[in-house]
Amino acid sequence: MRIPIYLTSLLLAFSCAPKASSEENTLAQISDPAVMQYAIPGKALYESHCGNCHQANGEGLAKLIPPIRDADYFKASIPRTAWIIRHGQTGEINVNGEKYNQAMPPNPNLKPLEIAQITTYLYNIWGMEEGVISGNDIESYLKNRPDSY
Amino acid sequence: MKTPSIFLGLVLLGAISCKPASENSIGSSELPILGERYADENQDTVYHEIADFAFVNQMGDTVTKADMAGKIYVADFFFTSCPTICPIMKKEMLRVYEDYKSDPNFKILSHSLDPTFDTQAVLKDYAEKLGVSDASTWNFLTGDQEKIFEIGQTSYLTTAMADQLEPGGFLHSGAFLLVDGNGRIRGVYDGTKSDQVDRLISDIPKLLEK
Repeated sequence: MRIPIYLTSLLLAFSCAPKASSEENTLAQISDPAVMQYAIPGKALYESHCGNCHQANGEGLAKLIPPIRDADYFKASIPRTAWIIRHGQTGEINVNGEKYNQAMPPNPNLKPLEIAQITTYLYNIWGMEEGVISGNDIESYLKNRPDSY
Repeated sequence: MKTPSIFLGLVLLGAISCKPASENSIGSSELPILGERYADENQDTVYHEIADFAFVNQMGDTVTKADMAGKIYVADFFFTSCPTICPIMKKEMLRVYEDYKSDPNFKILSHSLDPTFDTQAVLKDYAEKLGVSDASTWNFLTGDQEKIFEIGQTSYLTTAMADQLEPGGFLHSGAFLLVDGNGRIRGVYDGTKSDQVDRLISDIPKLLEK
């Protein structure tokens, strides 16, 4: 009668385990070590600078704050996203067919490398795999206001 | 055959081992009355109470302390253009709203710290975008800024003031305050932390059932 004891120990071992799905642990969705190097600080920066409004899960807030996750507007342009993080945004935008019109404040203190870490994180989770977005990439994106802004 | 009983015992242990400790005693369900208190000349205890107020909600109706008599409500302080903790507070308050909006004795009072910008029309638009179509439960309040700061600081015992150094221009705590039908504060919760809001959600029925 060894098997039942073995089974019950297994049951005990798992019964209190916290939910550690890759749904919540977004970093677990990344396999490229170069991306991971950017994404780890990127996740912390996202959660402290962006997460209050866009939420840690990227879903935004009702019809006030647009989602980032699975959002056509977000996916459409990395340079525009970098520009918006730095300069903020006002006026109406359309995200997934829904209109949003809540001002986003600028983040003048975020350095290009930090914006690179945030964007690398966000563009390599939730089903996206854009690879590393470097500090140099961000510096060049921030030189010119994007057409679609 | 001893093994099966051990097996059963272990299964039972596994089943109860994750139960939160707070759920097991009904006696501890009484919520404290918070704030300063003193004994009057008859030696009766006088508890801290929310002062009189009159503010205007998102529908343009005046909401007073008298309207709240006998109602259980949650109060907080925010402003619609807040770039920091307000959105997460509103996300958490939505959970409270969804759970109790059908109870006529339950209300939410969200006071704007920036009433000059947050006019009735701005608050109505904000509430609608949040998914709150009327003010039967959730009131977004505007009014005289000094009065709102004052009631925040002295009645609700929370931080609410103008501060040019803060992002958005106002310093405020993310507190949710649970107030009973006598205008007494019965709980303070951090409205930016979902575990604390879970506790608020489980505390509300303790007052509603009275």
